[in-house]
Amino acid sequence: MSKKFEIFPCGGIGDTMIITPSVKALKETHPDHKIIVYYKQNGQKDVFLNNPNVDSLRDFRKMSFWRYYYRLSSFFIRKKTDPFVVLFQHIPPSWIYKVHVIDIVAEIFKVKLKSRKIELFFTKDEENRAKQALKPFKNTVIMHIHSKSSQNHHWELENWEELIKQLPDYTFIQLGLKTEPEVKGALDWRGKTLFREALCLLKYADSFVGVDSNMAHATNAFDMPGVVLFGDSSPVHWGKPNNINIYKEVECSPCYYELWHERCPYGHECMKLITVEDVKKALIQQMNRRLKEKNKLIL
Amino acid sequence: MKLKEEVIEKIIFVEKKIEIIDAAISKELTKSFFMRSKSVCRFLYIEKKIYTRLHKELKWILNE
Repeated sequence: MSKKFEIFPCGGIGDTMIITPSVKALKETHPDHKIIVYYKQNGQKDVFLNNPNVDSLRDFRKMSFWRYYYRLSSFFIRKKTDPFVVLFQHIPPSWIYKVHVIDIVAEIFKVKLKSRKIELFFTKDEENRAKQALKPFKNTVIMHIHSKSSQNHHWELENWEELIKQLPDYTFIQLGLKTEPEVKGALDWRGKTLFREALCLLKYADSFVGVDSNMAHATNAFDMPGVVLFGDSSPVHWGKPNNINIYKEVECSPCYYELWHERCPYGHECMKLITVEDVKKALIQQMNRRLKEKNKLIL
Repeated sequence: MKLKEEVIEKIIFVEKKIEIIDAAISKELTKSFFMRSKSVCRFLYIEKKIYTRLHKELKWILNE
């Protein structure tokens, strides 16, 4: 067998982040194998950039397809190598699994995970820029209130605004795309950063608050104590231990794989039951934890 | 009194059904990842959801 693994991540950016602990385990188990990752969108590339466990990161879009034609035919037609098509949601996790999606991916890779932590790597330059950008602010909380995968992930805009009003000592920085709704009272950095820059800002902020999105997954890479709101998806599959995952467990949830992009027909109770007070309490708790960690580092 | 017995009987039936569903899920999980059937998993998921809710409701009736 050829000494290489060729990996095809499927799904969005968050799904790609979920793969990183397994890629690390794969490299540790087979240090003599070359790991090649094919990406189909820039977001997937951004996740794997500078990852020391990946030997080659290749563009798999139509425009670049011809470059790897021979290589691809070698495993699709001649079946010479072992590709990993990481389609870990071919059976939705909420249907039969009681484990986290990170463990489901590890099963595809046939590896045992020593660490279940997501991995993201930045250059010195990226890190310096993020530190400089956050320097003027105190008690920084990155906000990401939008998820492309489902409208049922969202919490009412008025709730976010009320949360900001009730915590005037914190600097809320809203990240995301310019097309996402603006939260009044937060620093509006939507559309002002590249995706990797946004991730690096997250690394050097004090906390995170948001919905189940790629940024929520990224907090895990930095052990950031954040707060994540779950409604139509379950923290059993998608939550991270570094965060306080607020989930009301209404009977119809998780419904993400059933409703997909459609709006909840029941009135979105799972997210409406989450109060501003719930989120505020959790965020204060996480900020205090962060401050304690910072003080420990100084001592 | 008769009604109570009927409810208890029904609960036992539902519990057995949930056990059967769990066993079928476990069987599906023993297969290799991409060999698991999406149709079977969807069916088991729906069945489990229905019977779990029914179990909860019956317990509530019994306690009331």
